[in-house]
Amino acid sequence: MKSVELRVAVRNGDVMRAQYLIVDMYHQNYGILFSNDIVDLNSGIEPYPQSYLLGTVGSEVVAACGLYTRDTYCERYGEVTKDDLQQQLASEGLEARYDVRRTVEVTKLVIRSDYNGRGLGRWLFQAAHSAAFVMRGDEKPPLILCCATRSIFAAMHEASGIRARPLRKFPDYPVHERYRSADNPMDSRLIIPTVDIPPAIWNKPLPCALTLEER
Amino acid sequence: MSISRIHGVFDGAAVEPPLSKFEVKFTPLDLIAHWKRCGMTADFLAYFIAYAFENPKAALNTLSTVINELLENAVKFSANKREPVVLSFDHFGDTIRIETCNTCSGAITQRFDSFLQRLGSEDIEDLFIAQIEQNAATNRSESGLGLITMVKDHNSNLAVSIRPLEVGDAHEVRVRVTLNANEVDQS
Amino acid sequence: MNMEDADHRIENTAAGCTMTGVLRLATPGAYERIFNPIHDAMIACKTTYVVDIRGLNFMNSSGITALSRLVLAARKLDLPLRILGAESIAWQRKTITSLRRLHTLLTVDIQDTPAS
Repeated sequence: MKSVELRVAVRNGDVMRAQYLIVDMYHQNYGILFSNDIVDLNSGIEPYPQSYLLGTVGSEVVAACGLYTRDTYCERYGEVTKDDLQQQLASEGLEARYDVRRTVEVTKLVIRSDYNGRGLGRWLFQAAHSAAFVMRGDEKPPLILCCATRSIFAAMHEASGIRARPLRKFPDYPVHERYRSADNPMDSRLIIPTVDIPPAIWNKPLPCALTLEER
Repeated sequence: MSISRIHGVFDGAAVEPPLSKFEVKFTPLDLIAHWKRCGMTADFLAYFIAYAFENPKAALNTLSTVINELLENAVKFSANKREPVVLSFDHFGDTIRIETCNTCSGAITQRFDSFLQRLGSEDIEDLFIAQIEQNAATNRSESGLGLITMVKDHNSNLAVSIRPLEVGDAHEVRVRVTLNANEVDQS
Repeated sequence: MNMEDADHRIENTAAGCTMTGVLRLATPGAYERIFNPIHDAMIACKTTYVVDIRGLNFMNSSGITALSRLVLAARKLDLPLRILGAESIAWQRKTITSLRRLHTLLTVDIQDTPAS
């Protein structure tokens, strides 16, 4: 039986391992390129996330997930404003507990194709919503933003019991045309960790491991 | 398509050993991950070569243009982005040879093969215009314009060898551009 | 470390644009964003539109494709277009002159003096 080990990419090498799996899969599947500064969603150039989770089997990288810790996609391209966030916090009476300036965004979750369909995706997704990954040593939890198609929200967030509050419909960019459609539009949504994420997910320790069933 | 093909004159062994040579092995993913590395690499290698020329500045422009075009193609069209692409340079005194070697999927190889047949038989200026008109409506990156300009504008001898690999549908594609050293110096 | 500083500059005016530096974007599509303002200016242009590339040291074939699309756009608009190139930059002297055949109202001027 194989076991997938999951850890936060801290060292340079791990960051590169995670980036390269993401780049490889996004380029192969969607023709998307990444850049640290020349970013243009109209021409298929996405920004690199700043932080990563890395899933390995032995020395092989089989899964990765990114986290924007500044200039979140939803705010940069999705027209989400600090007021939108403030309103959501006010509706829960949580203005004092969170700071709308501190936002992160879970993004670019990839599973190497030969590891598809083994429950790895949802497990990685849940770990990406743990305090151990998104807090990054801070005292206060950040607000978590997410930009995805509605089918992803149903298959990942709802299936995991994570509430994602719709903020705005995400504008149509050519870079997303290979996965977005009229029936399956993209939204920007907000997750307020302490009320929207089940404790079992929020408190999930990292690193952790998942034993895969043999196929 | 399962047979080996050669377009242009692809002489196997050179008559005399090169006066100067280097070979660089790349992982395409490195250049896909940071696209500017194509240009950076082309510039660096072109500097290396042009430095010894009488008119380094002029030579640099041609050499960097040619190397960048070959490198971009090799990286874009390589079948497996983790398998190395090799770029080699040989200077025979009067001629300069720049070559890339990479693997390509069957579908891409087939399109490349028919493009090369056109390149070998049609008027080059006509083909240049035809490709522009044809590509105007699409966003396909495989326009072949780079190779056309190499032949048309840099007076290079273009030769391509396509060889099916033993396993799978991928092919080994070698693209060789031979330039006249004096012309590059005066370009 | 951020070494990916923009290495090109495009200045737009109502009657033309000036491109300088190096343009080697990954695909013709990647040029669209930076060329869109040029396209818009051409639509609004009532005289000859001038594209000055004398300071553009390198452009890859994706860029040539994108540039030729501008020529085709001018043709569609019936707009006189003038491309200014530099004699000292090999690819310009050689490749750009071939674009003439795309549009009867296109003039390509390859000049001796480099852009100041």
